[in-house]
Amino acid sequence: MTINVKTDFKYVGTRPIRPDGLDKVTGRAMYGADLNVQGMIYGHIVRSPYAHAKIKSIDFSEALKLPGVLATMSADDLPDPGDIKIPGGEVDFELKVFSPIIMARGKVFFHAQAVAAVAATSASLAAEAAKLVKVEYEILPHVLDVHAAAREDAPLLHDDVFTQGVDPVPTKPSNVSAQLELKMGDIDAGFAKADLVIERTYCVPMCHQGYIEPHACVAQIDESGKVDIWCCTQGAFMVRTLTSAITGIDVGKFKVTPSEIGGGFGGKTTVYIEPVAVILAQKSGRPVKIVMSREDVFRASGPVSSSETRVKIGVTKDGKITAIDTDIVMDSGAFSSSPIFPAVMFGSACYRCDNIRSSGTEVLTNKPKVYAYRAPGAPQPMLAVECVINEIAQKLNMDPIDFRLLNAVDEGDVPLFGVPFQAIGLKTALREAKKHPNYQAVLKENQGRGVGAAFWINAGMQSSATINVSEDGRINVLTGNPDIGGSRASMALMAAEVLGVPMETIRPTVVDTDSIAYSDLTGGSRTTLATGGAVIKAAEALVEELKKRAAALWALDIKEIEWVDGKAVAANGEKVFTLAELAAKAGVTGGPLCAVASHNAHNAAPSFAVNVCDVEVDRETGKVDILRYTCVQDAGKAIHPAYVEGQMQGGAVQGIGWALNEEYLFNERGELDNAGFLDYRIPVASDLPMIDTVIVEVPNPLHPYGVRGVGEVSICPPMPAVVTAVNQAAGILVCDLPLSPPKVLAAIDA
Amino acid sequence: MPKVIFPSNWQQYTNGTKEVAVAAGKYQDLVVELHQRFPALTREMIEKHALAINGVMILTPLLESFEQDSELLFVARIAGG
Repeated sequence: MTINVKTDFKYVGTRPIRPDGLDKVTGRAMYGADLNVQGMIYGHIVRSPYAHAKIKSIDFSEALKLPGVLATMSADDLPDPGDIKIPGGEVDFELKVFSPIIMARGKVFFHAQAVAAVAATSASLAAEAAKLVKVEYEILPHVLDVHAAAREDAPLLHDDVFTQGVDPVPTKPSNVSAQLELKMGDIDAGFAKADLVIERTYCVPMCHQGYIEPHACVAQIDESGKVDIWCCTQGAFMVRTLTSAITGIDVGKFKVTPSEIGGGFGGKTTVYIEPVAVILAQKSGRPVKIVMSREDVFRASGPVSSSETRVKIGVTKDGKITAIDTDIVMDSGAFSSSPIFPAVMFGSACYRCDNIRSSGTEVLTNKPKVYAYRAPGAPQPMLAVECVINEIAQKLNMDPIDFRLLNAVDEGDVPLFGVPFQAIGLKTALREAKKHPNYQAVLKENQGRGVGAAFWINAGMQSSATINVSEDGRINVLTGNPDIGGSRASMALMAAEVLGVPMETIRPTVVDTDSIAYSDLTGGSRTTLATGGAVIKAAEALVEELKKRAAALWALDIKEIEWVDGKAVAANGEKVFTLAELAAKAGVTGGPLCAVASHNAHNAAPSFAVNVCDVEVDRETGKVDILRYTCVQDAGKAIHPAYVEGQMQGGAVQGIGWALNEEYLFNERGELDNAGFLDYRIPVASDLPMIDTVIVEVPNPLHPYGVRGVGEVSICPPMPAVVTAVNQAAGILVCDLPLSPPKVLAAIDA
Repeated sequence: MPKVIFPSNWQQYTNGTKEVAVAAGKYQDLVVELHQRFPALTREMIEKHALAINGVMILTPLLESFEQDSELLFVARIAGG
């Protein structure tokens, strides 16, 4: 299926000033912790000091003796989750998995899991009261390592988890929560044809999305039972759905208002504190604010799966890939929720190969339950595949981009997950990377270069949009998607394009869940495509209404009216109404001008990216400096190119951090030892050169403007590009990330 | 007739069958027909997957219909982060 994709744009593709810029640089923008309401009190969460324990009792009596302590809660205040499932994106939300993350029910599965909560008239008093809550535990043995956890004699986390994906379903519970294998062709025959086979195992530690703004919310319940939540989130409707399910309060009673958001990257696609604030507000009769500390964010939100990926790739001597075999083991933390499916499906998606096998195993350990991070599940296996591809190209004495061009997928090719590619931009991106000046730069001693290519599928899903016209012709575009990467600008530009008016006359606003129809969350690289699709539909409907109003005023048939550059035009241009003129007459031509659109986007298309990284390694310290970094990515159509470049740069920086420094360090008690940005080292501006970007535009044939998603694929190529560059520069082969200075130095000295 | 291609990890439930022609012209009929022909393929298993129709992925295919020459493929639902 293809449609007519527009290629001549007036506003789309320009770089106007961002609508939220002034509010953000002046400090006016309101983030999650910025809201204060009259009568507000403060919640504080009591967290488990143990990684695995039974909760024998919780005693609030001493805490309640403190004057100013107004409410307490535990899992006893939440309904039993039973087997309730709530439809989600990748999988249905199983309430029995989500509810214990909000408040442990009888047992704790990881250090810092929420156990109880108190609310008091000041934040310090709430913290003091929390210390007085007496929780009696029976400590259980814990397990942190996936291999140890997979053993039959390992401490069992859940007695109701049986390995999914094997037939027959086991009768004995296990910490191995899921297994999956996909294959195409004949893997043994593929390797038999190979002249060169390389097999490696790459390990990536548990990491965090590293969003700067901690989770924060205010919850308020009025006398009628109406619940208002203000919070920083990637999806206000998701907060409404999950908080309703977890608290047992009817979903129709909730209004959720999303604040500005200081980063999410997938980590704010669920709830942690909102249900707690709601219950404390319900019990105290006062609005309740909860702000997670940085330590709590690291310890008790959803980090990224650690992984171990074994990959074996065979090639002929002339560089054709004959077989790709991967096994990935992912640590899901204490509950099943790792992205093992995309990890198995997408690791080899950049390459045309007839013989592919990919298996995945998800293991539960006594660590925080993992959650989504840009392109969840893809970066880890792509690290392994891409590093081996680089190694093969080197052994064959081929340029790594030429090797990829020889094997890259193109339109019509069928990847392991089975859905044939339509028009895609991988080869174009590879060619752009090769001709970039950075790729021509001459490397000196102790310097190295790495290449990484990547794929991400992108999502569509449900969105809605409302467009209102004020009496002076200015436009309000309302959507329900928190703006985490420039969606206000892209919504305004697409509305401007359809309506034919400058973006400056359009005010894009993210509204609460009472003010717009349902919208899935901002994530999955879907907002510009899906919510933008709703905006385009609403704008098109508004144009039809404007033409109808003009036709009525001129006593013409609507077929005689054209909409040109923001004006209704008839009679070969002799009759003209501007949008502002029609808006001024709205009251006498049928009432207020507005349009609403509901959209379920089935037109997502995949993105590909190619990164090139040059590094220099200090052989005395093991420190790595990034010298040059180039991102090339297929955006389909860049609605606001500066924001697309920002997404590419942001993904690159996060991937660089993942490659070089970032890792969760647990001690033997299962406590996270580096729960802060001093010890959990994300890259800062002074660590990096300018990240150069090249936007490739191979239009999505399913979208009227050719849009693809851009927010996620950018995090996939950096790890292999950086790791290959470091290994090449230092003459080492380190496959265990991060490539921190001590590790690099040890490999140099070995 | 529309052709359904099974993902390789489903073939343990389809007695090794890799693809099958179906009479169904609508998604809801397809689910019933597949479960009838392959009882180990439960409705829940089918319905928690997305459906690709001629290469276009549809996360919520409940009301979808297809042509006689359509190629149908079930794919794990992926939303992203």
